[in-house]
Amino acid sequence: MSLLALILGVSTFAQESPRVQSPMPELPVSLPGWLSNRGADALFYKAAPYNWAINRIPAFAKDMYATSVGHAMAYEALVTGKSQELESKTFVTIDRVLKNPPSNPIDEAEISPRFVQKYGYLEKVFDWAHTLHFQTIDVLMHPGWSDTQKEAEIDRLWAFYSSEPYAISGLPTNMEYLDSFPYSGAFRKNYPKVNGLFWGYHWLQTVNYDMLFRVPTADQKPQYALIGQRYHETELYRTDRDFMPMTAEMSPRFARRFPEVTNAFDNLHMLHDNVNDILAQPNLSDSAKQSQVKIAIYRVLASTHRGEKPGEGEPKTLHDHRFPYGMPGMGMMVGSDESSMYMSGMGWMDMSECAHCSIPLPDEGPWGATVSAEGWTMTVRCMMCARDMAAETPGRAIIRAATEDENRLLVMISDEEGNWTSNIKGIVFLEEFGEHPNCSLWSRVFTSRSAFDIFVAKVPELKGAKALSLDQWSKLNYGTPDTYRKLNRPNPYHKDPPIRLRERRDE
Amino acid sequence: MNKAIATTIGIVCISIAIGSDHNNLEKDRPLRFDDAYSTAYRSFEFQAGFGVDTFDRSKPVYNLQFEIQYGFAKNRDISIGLDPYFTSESGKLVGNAIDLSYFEGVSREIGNNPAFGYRIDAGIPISGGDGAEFRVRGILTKTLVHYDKIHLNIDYLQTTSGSSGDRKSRMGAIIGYSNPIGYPTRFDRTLLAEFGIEQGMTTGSGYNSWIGIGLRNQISSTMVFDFGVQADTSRTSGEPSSPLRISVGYSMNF
Amino acid sequence: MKRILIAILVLLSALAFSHEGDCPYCKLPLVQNTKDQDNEVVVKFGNKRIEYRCVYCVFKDQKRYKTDLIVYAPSEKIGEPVVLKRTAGKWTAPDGAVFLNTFKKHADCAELSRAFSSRAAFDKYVTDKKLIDAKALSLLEFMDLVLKPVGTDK
Repeated sequence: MSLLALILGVSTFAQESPRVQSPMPELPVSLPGWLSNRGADALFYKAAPYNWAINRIPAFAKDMYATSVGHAMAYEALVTGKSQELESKTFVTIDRVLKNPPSNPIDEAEISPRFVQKYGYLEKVFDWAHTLHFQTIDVLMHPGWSDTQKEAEIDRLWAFYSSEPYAISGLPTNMEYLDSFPYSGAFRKNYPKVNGLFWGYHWLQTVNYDMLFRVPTADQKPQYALIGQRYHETELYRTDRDFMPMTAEMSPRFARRFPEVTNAFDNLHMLHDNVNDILAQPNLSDSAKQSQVKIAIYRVLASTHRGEKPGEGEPKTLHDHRFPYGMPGMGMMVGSDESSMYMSGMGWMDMSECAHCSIPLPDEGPWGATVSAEGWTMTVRCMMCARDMAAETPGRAIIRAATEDENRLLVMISDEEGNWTSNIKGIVFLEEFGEHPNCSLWSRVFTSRSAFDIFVAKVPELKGAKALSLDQWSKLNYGTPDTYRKLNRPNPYHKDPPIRLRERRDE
Repeated sequence: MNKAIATTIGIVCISIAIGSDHNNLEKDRPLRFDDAYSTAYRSFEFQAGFGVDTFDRSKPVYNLQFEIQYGFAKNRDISIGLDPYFTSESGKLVGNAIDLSYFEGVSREIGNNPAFGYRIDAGIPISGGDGAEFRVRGILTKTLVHYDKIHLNIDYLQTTSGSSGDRKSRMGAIIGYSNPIGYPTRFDRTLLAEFGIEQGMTTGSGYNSWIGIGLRNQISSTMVFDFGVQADTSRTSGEPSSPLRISVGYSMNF
Repeated sequence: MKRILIAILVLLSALAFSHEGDCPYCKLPLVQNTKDQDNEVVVKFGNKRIEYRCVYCVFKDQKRYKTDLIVYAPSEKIGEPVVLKRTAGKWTAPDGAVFLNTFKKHADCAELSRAFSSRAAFDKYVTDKKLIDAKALSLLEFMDLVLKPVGTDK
């Protein structure tokens, strides 16, 4: 073997270690006792003044209520021998509800009675986690509370949620392992359209948190006009995702502050995927399916991982709680390591770096900004990176950025042509183009001219810097930085070229 | 009594109301049968209703119903209620008993086995009333075709009051039926129907029976409105027959 | 041996870290300008500056943009793109501009779907690349070819 071939081979091997393939799981020695409880065990949510605040954005509330429908209808079809209708009649039915969402929340058990007859214990886990979803959203949408009050309440909600035996773990778990069983992937392979709906509304359930977190309530609704449009026009109908949307991918700011809540949602969504796959197995008997569903529940329960800590655990096992550097709100993904992960639609990313200029994100001071466009959300170091990343992406975009006032988040929304509106009147930009490793110093936004002047006065190298209005700043563009590096590694989910969004019949 | 009731209604209306569910069937909201499921652990539910019992049309009786229910444990709830009534004859509002109730949902529907629960009710006299009344109700709920359900309620009633010719204990049964309306395009209404029989009050008398039809409608994420109509199909002699009973009400959790 | 090892390391670096994004239409990596040839196709409108892999991809994807567009299509001259404009839905190109569109696979589109400032430039490119059956297209002919429904005969 030539030296070149050897080195290339080693390089390829290092990048493409084979995916974990786990055997069919066996029932653990002792399952939690509550799995055998015969009662309905309905739980009420934490009584509080913020409950139902989601209704302040009616379109968002209705879209979230409608997400109760998809899994329930699909599970009902799967347990009543109607799997052959999933991609046709069931898809049409679910899609109709998603297009005409209900004004009130739906009790999933009432629209999946045969499923709940068989898997009532599973429904307890789902219901309790869905309660956490809705209540955390309600807190973030509650008017009249400070961000500090809201964050403290979400911490209390997490404790309240965790006090029940049905609580899902808040530890990062290895998604590659959880998706490695003989049945894994069956549902998305055989029912891509319905799976697309599920992962589409997982997109909504995960992307909404950064729309709300530390955002003034008055500034939440305008963002949903863009997000809701994207959801209905595109995200629900994508069948090209390699993996389900992860909460930290879609809402990195929320995930950084609330890693446990974030991990619990991802573990919940993975539980859904496991159950989809199990129920879609034609060769498993009913009792085997029951056992596998109980095992799937057991894998993600908080009680199963009691005493374990984030960052620890044997790699690619049930108790692997490692996470990408700086992201305790995400478990390890297929092929990822602590410094890089593959994000469907974006490629390999180092999440500790600016998505635009590849310089590491600042550890201290204002954290930069996030850019949401084309269904993704990326973190960048500075306002220039945010603007130029949005400028090179078709469609509308949202920038959420730190200002000099840590209690005032800037939210900017652009139209199709990149014209920005801002939630803070009279914002002033600093952009004295220099070396990218320092961009978070010379590219910033301030809530007022006086705040700009105070900052510039403190930094000698910025003497004489010009204050830019939103309009002036919007027209600047420095293109893709020369520091940008794309990690050019193959898609770990595919041996073949990825399925593209548009059919390329012209080839 | 009127002022107290009005004040109670006012306070409850102002309080934060969160999430009642049109699928969760409670006695008298709007028909007499229950389903076998308790209210959720840690939830309070306030129910209020207004009914008209027409009897021979010239002497209607107007009923008010108020109840607060609390899920004090998983699958168990307790409630306290008032059922004052107003007769056109007397012209007075009479509320001389409070209703206490304990419910336990023993088992949900698992496989082909119905859900099972039971309720114990006590009507305790307060000012002006005499005698206590008790009821033990066993409840089975089973999915019928797909989304619809059938509910069997078996009642044992015991009273401590009444004249020497009255039964002290009676049996009754109700077959209830519920079906959500509008699936799979709407998810906010449940249709209900019932057929009930109950031994007459007088010793040696036969059975009274009635039918009822009703609707529960989720009108917001916080409130359910209910409407029901019942009619006696038979009455033992000596007991007034009601050709029509109408009730409207609402429920809210907090 | 030392030189071979250095060459290998440079090659591996290039494999590991390529300076690229993806075309919004065909999702293949954008082809960057080299010292010998411009390759970046840029669409500008409002404050947006979107890069495409080739001119074909721009025309295929143009429906998503509702506004007037300016397209900087790399030509045979470095730093002097052919500037195409869509104004009120109508496309225009400079006088004499000529187009090539002969790729069979999208991997070749950056090389084989291009604009030229003149017929002579087109002819030189076709000769240098040894392209067979390459036809010089006017803007209208190019658009007709690119935008016709798949499977229809001319």
